[in-house]
Amino acid sequence: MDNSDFRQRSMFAETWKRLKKNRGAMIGLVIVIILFLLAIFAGVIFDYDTDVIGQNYNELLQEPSWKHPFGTDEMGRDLLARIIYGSRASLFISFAAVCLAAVVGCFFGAISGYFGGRIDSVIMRITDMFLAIPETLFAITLVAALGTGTFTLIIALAISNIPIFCRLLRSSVMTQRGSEHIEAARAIGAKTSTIIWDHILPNCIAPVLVQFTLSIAVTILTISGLSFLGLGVSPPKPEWGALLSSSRSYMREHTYLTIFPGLAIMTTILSLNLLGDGLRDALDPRLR
Amino acid sequence: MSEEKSYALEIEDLNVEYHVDREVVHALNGISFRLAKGETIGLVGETGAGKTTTGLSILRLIPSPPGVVKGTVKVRGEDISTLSEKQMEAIRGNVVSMIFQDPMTSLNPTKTVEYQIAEVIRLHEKCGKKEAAAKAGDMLEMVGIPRDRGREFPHQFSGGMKQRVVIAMALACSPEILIADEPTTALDVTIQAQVLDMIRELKRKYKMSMIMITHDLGIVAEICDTVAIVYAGRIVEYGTLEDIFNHTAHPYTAGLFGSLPNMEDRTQRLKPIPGLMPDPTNLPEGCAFSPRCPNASEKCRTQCPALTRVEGEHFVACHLFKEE
Repeated sequence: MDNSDFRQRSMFAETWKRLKKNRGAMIGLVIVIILFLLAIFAGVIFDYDTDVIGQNYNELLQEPSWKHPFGTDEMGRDLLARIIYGSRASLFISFAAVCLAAVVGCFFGAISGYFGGRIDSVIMRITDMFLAIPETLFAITLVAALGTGTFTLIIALAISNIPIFCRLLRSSVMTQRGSEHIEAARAIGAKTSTIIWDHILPNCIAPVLVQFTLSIAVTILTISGLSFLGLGVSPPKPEWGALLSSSRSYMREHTYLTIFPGLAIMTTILSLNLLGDGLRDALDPRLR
Repeated sequence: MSEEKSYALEIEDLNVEYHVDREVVHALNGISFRLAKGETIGLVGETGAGKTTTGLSILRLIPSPPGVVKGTVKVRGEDISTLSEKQMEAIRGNVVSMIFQDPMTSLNPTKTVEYQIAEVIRLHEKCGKKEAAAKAGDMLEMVGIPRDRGREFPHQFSGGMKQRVVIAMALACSPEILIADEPTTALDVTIQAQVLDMIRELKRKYKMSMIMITHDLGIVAEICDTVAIVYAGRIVEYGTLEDIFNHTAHPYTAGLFGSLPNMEDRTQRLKPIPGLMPDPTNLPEGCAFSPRCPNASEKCRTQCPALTRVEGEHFVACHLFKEE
């Protein structure tokens, strides 16, 4: 039996065991998994060309029914199909953007926190600059300059999330750096890279994971906001914020058009927040 | 000191200063001693006397800046200030290793105990993961912990067991010099005795030289061959166990013994040394102990005494003793 394998599993298993006890986190996790499955298998349930973007003037603005559980919009498109396809854009863009931000932010944060001094000052002043610009405003500027598109959107959202991760990791690395087990690691002859990778980062991962889930929630909101302004995903491609935006004019008579996309955004963010909170508790070494 | 002996460690006029906020903290002020192979030296002194700093400078782990290290430290006759960082990494944990004061915090909470011991072995010996893990298991058994518990995390261990793990880590590559920085301070008395017995036995088994950093004269009496009394970053008295315990020379050493309870006369009051250690940013001009010394003269306040021979291997830094 490979020992190292066992060890990795046991650490994962331990976190999992604690996470399972947290009912809220489990509900969040189940919803997130369902959302992902729906996004991945959306093509199996609905046909993009006919259900999602195909206009059907016989079924304009229908109330929810068995045929169209969420009703239809002003062009006769099934709202359920559009919401499920819309999750593809929201989830993919936000995950890609936040993953990119987390990797880049953690890299610079770790360097900044570990080495300190001038490197730290330079990196921190740059993050300060980015932190001073509101996320949405920054994304609007960048998208306006580079043109709308999934890729520009991901880059814009990633850049505005980098400083958060950078700061977060910097502060945890700084507290870890002074701790005695790091000195002990140095005293057994460990290299700097080993110390950062093996001894500091595992102890800093908990806040990063939590921030990850929270950032995704915020980013989904930002994407929706941008789409609402017409800068996010371009029509007729569905996106939650865009759905909300287009349903605005029908809000009075056809309330369901705003309620369902809103519920989709709310459920996703709530479940991500629940999962994030649960992860923070499960990963806290003090509670072990 | 006879020259034909080969020394595991030689420290010559070691000075460590920390430059913080325009102030200079004089942590070590010219420490010199030599450690023969297989011998144990006790560094005894109050908290803040510079004992741990001495230990860290042997591993070249004084953070720099703000630390400034002067003087030479020779490990196996080699001056460590001339070595590259890579060569130094090869020495740390392999030739010289250190047991840290607090076992509660000196283990990584996110890695299993076995992994942490195996890490030392993998760093210094060319062997695979499995081999290192097996050897880590052997080390655990040697310090009296069942092999199976190696897969557990530090928080699942008691304080005494954590200290055993730390000792197992320090000994995993059979170092020539072991620096034990108050290895029993964080433990309760019954476990202290066990850990001390274990250290003594392992030391005999591996024929290691050891530096025992402590403020507990009882531990010194049990383990050490020679003793250096450290005060304000200087060695004030140096000699064999016999010299220090039975022919105490320096008033500070006498003060240390005076503050121990007397077993024969239990009603006697303790005699603590009055005052506190001088501020290391502002050491007195003369003998650092003079403000607290009952026998201090005018000379003591203006002139710093050098370490002089009393007899044989017994040295003292005090104006009360003239070189004979």
